[in-house]
Amino acid sequence: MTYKKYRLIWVSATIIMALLVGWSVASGYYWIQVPVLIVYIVTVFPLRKRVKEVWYDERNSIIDLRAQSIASLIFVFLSIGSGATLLYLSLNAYPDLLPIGLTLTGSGCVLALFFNLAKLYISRKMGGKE
Amino acid sequence: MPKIITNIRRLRFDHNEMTQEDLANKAGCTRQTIIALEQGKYVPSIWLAFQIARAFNVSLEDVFQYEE
Repeated sequence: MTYKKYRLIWVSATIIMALLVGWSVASGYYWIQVPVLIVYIVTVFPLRKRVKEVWYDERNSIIDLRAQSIASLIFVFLSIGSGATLLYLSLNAYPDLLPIGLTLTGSGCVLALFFNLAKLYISRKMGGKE
Repeated sequence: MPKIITNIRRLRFDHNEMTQEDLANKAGCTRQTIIALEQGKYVPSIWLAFQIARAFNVSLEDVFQYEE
């Protein structure tokens, strides 16, 4: 099986699953979600092993890592920046904005903290001393 | 700035016009990586460099050269 064919099946199956889950929520038949999920896992996951060509390698891995790093950095700056603005506004005129501001700044700080902790752990695991 | 020069395109030509897809499958990488290597836009890991050299049955320096 080619990678393109696998992607087509994967996307189609995911859309069908999402439609069925959405329909089950709308109609109240919540139990349908369990068999749908099982059928999805049983049919889609084994197909991945049938893809003969190479479709993921070190270059893709580096691209993914850089994209994740940039996305995390953007999220940290945006959440802390907007959170700090909301906190400032909450102190002066809009007290309702305080919980949103705290959530945004907190999530940004926690992400930055986890990023650095993970970096330290992986660095030590790979022989670094920082 | 130091540069890595690759002879992948010439080696593919010498090996009966081996396709990028065939080389990618032999070296264990994607066709996009072979394209990036041929264009000089990606520097491979030591592991991949050896895999490519092995696919052509040549030494590492026949495929990649380091230029100051």
